[in-house]
Amino acid sequence: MMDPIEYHKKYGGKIETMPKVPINSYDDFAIIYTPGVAEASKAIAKDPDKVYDLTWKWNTVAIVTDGTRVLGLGNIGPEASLPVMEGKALLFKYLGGVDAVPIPIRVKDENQFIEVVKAIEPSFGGINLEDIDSPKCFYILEELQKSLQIPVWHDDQLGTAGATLAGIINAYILTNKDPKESKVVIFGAGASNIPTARLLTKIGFRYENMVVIDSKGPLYADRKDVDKLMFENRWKYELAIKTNKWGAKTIEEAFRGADAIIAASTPGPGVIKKEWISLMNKDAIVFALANPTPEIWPWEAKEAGAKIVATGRSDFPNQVNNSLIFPAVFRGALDARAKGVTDDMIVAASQTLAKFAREKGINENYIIPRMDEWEFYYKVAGAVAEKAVELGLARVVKTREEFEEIAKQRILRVRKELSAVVTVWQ
Amino acid sequence: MAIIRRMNKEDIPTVVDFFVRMYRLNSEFDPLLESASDLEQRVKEVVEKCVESQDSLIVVAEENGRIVGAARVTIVDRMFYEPKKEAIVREFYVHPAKRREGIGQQIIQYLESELSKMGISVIGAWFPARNLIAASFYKKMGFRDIYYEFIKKIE
Repeated sequence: MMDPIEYHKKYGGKIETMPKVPINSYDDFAIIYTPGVAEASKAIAKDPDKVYDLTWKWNTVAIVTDGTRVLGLGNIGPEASLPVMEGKALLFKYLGGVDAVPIPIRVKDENQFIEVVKAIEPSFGGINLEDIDSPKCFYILEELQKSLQIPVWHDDQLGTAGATLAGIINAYILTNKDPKESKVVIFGAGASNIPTARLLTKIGFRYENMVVIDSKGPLYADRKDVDKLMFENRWKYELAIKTNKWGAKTIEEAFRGADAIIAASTPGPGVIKKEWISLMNKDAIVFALANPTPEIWPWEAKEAGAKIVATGRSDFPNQVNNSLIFPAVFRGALDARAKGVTDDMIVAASQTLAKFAREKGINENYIIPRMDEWEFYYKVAGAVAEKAVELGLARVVKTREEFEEIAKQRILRVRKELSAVVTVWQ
Repeated sequence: MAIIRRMNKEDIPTVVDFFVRMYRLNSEFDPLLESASDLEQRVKEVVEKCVESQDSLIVVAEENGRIVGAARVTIVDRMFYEPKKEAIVREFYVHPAKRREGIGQQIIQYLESELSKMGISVIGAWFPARNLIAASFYKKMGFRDIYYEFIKKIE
């Protein structure tokens, strides 16, 4: 691997803007810019929805962060987050054909953050929030989803949760377990696991059958700090009172008789003990998603009785990664010119992703597609767009097949365009 | 649906636990609300004394044989105002799993009717200024703010 500093210095960052219209003579500037461009502006002034037809809005997403929780680096500030956001923008384009603009912002609190995003809404077809500290990220996402007329997504929450859901769907099919009666341990109560718990209930799991474990142990309604949580993290508070019907107070009690554990906590190994896995039911499902090292090594989990193990890493089987979800969700949401993105749209994405893997043939080392199987992106996009139509959130109404084809052509077009720099196509 | 009634002797341990939890939460709001080192003992004494007291009253919410909420009021003089007596809610707690089911409202309604029978026509509540959830609850119950208590540590 080239030295990352040298690499970033050599190219001066990783992305740039490029015009997409032909320029054949200087006369063309009379349309590109003034006076001709004024006609486009007047048309939009008369009918604001025309902005989708006459500008880049239909395909453009803002990647907004305050740099308060960047990768595993913590609060390193907006400037330091820019390399990450540029990388993300590249993934958006490469995988989903989406134009994404990195916008790290300097804000003093969550309300100012919300105001800034509201202010930039006109330029974008969607907002992708990134690397924001928890529980602030829950509040910002909720408020922005309520007030904006474009999809607002927080990838650390929804992307990871959506990919997890897809993996869980297939893991349960493979092990012939019934979500309704199944005990699930949610290990870690941060940005991704809180929406994961919620999404699980959309596919048949029950809150009461989950036990959520945070740094202090299992959550339950009687736990001493629950009143404090009501003020400081009402999302976690909700889980404390809705989950854990057994009132499990120790980690051992939580794992005993569980069918699955979904961990998104702190890098391991050794964060999850083999002894805990061995308390679980037969054919246990273990998702150890911390990066860069899973909470428990896959072989350790298997030695302790796990049947299926997923991690966040590409060098192990079953990589659960938000890159499987966000490019396709935005491709679909943008193609439908959606007014929002909901849990139902995420579930549609996860189910389509899971189905794609099933059609290829799932086994314990293949429960979820890999990033290089690019065809699932347009299939998932079609499902997301169709769901947006069904929910009345789409500005463009088409069939799933039509949306799939549109997404496929757009992704193919970008792959062709990028052939100048990209030599590794799957 | 919870039944609201006056506290019995058997309810004392749960009521003490609830009020201790409330004071522990209060201590999150301000350094000058740090709870006493012998908090449990103090709360226990107050709750036990309340059983035969004339100037205070504890009510509990009971659901399926379990205590799910409790409140204590004390009756104080309003020497310079009319009416001359006021009941003040000193502690109020609903179990986390039973919140947002209207139990708090039932407790307030029950207190109002019991206090009326005792000839008391004014009810107030004390809670930390930063407890915004309590503030919005009491507003919903028809209370308004009347006094401010400002505080300062003398250095």
